[in-house]
Amino acid sequence: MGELSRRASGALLLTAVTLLTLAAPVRGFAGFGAMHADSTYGVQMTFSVDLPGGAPDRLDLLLDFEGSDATLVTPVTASGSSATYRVDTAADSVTPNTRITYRWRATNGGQVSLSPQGTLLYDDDRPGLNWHTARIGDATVHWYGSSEAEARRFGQLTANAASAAETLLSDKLAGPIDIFVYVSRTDFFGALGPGAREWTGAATFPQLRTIFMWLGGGSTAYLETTITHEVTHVVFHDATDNPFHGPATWFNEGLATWAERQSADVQQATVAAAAKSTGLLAFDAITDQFPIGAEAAGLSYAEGATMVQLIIDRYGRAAVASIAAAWRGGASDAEALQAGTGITAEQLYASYFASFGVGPPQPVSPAPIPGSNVDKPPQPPAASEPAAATSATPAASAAPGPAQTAEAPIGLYVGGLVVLVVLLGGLWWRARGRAPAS
Amino acid sequence: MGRAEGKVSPLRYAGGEFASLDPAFIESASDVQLLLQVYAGLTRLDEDGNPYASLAQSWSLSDGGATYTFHLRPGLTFSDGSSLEASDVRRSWLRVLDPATHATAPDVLSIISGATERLAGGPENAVGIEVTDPLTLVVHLKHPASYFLSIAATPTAFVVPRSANASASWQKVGSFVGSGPYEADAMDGADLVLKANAHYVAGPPPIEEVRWVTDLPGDAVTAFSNDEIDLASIGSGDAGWIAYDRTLGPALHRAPALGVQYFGFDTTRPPFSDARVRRAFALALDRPRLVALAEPTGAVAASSIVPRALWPAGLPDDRAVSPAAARNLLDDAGYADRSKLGTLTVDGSGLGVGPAVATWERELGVTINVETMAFRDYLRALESNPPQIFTINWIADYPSPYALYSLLLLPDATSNYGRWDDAEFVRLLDAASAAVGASAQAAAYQAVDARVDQEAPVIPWSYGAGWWLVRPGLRGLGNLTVGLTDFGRVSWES
Repeated sequence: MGELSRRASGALLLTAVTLLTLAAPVRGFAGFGAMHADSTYGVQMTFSVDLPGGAPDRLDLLLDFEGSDATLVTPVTASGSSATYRVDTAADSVTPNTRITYRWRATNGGQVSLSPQGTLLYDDDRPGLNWHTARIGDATVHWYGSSEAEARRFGQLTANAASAAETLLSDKLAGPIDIFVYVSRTDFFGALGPGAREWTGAATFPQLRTIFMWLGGGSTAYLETTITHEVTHVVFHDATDNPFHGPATWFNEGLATWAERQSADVQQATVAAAAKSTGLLAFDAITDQFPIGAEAAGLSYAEGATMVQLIIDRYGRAAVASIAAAWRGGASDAEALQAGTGITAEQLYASYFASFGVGPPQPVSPAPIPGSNVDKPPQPPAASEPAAATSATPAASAAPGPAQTAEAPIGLYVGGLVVLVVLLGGLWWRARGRAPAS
Repeated sequence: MGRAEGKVSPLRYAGGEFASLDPAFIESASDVQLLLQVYAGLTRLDEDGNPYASLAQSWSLSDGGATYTFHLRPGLTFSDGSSLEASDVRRSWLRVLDPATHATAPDVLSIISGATERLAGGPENAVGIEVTDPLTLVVHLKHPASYFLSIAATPTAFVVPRSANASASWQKVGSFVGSGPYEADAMDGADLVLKANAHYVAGPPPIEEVRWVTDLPGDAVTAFSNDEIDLASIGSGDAGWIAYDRTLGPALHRAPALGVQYFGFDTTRPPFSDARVRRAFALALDRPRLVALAEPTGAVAASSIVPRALWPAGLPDDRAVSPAAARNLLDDAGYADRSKLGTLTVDGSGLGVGPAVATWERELGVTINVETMAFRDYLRALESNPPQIFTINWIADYPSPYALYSLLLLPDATSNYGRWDDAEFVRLLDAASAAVGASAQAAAYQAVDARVDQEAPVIPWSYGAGWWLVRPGLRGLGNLTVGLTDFGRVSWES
């Protein structure tokens, strides 16, 4: 066979292979099949999907957690004609009663397609928690064991608390509230996840519209005032929610504490006593987190409540609604307070402290950190002086030692390597809407 | 060599989880901080950021400042007593530049001639690193770089033992071999125990044991209050009340703002391949107001991707704001009908994007979907298929504006995730790098920054600050700067 024939033979073989390939069944992504999701509290969430025609070039699971404005995107590798993804909630805590919507996203040949949307409720299904549920007005109460009476009472109190808060804030609840009543401390803190402070007896996750109560957290009377406190948080969240700024914690907690009795008479004594002994906390100090100690935390609540009382007394109840409305419009704390009171925040704070006979608290100076007294290894003479500013002129040639300098004054320099891509912002974004109020 | 006197209690540091004991694979601030304790380089940065001679005894410059000749100290060893010579430095650096290694930050060494080509698969022997004798290393740079002594002090340039390979897991606690003041000796529960390295170039450090606490049962403030840890980074929220607390207040220290959070654009695809669109998104943001609202206790608005502490003299602290001009730019770019932009995607894995997204939607009339990803997924996405708008928090690798501009925006840089390729920027940055004298450098870097501002491949968002609790009695911690906190220079006051 000559050269031409061999070429022709090769062409025929190639043609045959091509035809065989075309004749074979095409295996490739052909859309989404059945989807399934399940969860075990404190263990995992699983999401799965059938891929009847095979896997796409790229497959992502899209999770939208209730209360978050961002979609969590997770690449998933398919296994044959299906794909499953497991979220390890033992390692990454998720608050119970979180509703999750999910979709699958396939990218195949440059085309993007989305599956239908599914939903999953990540509920607290720990063994022994045999939940019962009842809808009472704006509240859906959940209880287990013998706590039905207390749960129903909480549901009834919710309506009164919500109504009072709605009136004060000139806003309406955006939706119903779930209230979970826990009997044991272990069950309760197991629901809150890591980081809950030890003195916590109730916690609200406003974005989830969910309140967790622990029956052992106090007397019946205490718990009944607590449910009012927590419901007020949810109404306050609805009245102030905005993408720019979270309202001052002292105001949020102060309003909720004031709402318990529609006054701050009890807290007035606490603040007055502290003013005469340990001193008061600056409002700037309790804008974000409250102190970790129970006493200082208690004083934080008391200062917040008495400040709310002062605002109501001097500027009227409408001032509270004006402050909330300003926050909802994207105001800073100072702007919101001024919108309600007509005076600056500094003036308001000074007036408050003066009412207790003290001046504004002052920050504590940090203790200086002495410089190192550990020797460096022997340095060449020219290196013994820190590089001054400016000249980058290199030594002409072969001059011993580090004869050239840094580029600019160094005192505040970052140095050392960092490929520091600290990418926790996304988690912050997700968590932002989940921080409990207590 | 004098040693500090004082009680030799362990230093209990809430260092958090770490991902790597290999300087080629740095993923987090925690990794940087740990690697600094267990490896050394030719030079080292003191607590104020000044480079000083470490493994190198001296150096000289030639070729107009483009060639460094380092002379290593005689008798150097790794922590296991094996010899450490110039060939080990060369091997360590070439390992980082080997594309098969897939190091996380090889661009730090891209100033070396032939390094960029090597990262792209070029020949190893063309990289400008020569060993002329066991104690002499000659490094040829692409151009004079006054900051190379700081580059030589970065963790990526640290010297690893001959057992190092391309795997991220060759180095293990217990059998650790390093070159820094400490060795990774053992895990004790959740604590990594670091023991003083008797072979360290500066001699064993005065604190014989560092307990690197990777996990705390509660929060760091409570642990510090309970005397369970001596040193911890804390959140700005707790710093607010601690600043007024008579007990903890004296232990509270603010570290300077040394990182930058920024938005970046995928500049290779419409609509952000058009500088007018990018510029519009930048002009729409009133960063001082938005950052103050979003991060009232922890950050200030950024106007450059260079952290303020590294700003060249005279860099203007201005951020033009004009939503009207922004809208006009979008119109001019062909998007007067905003629906032509489609639904844009912002990945918020690097910072809180809520305020910016709300502003863009309100001021520009665009529709945005916000996504987030787990850290490792996000890194992979940035490298292979970056979101239209991405977010990152970076800290400079070494104390020079060049570190930020080059690593994040030069066309060949692997961390230029938006793939911005601007010849004028390259020309201006080359000129700035080679500029001699403070005023010339300042002017040159101002031109660089103006170009970045004009073309807007990124939008600098904020400069964050860190907060620390420091047990009284510790000394030598400097500014508590990530990458500078060298426990080998820390001691307890007697």
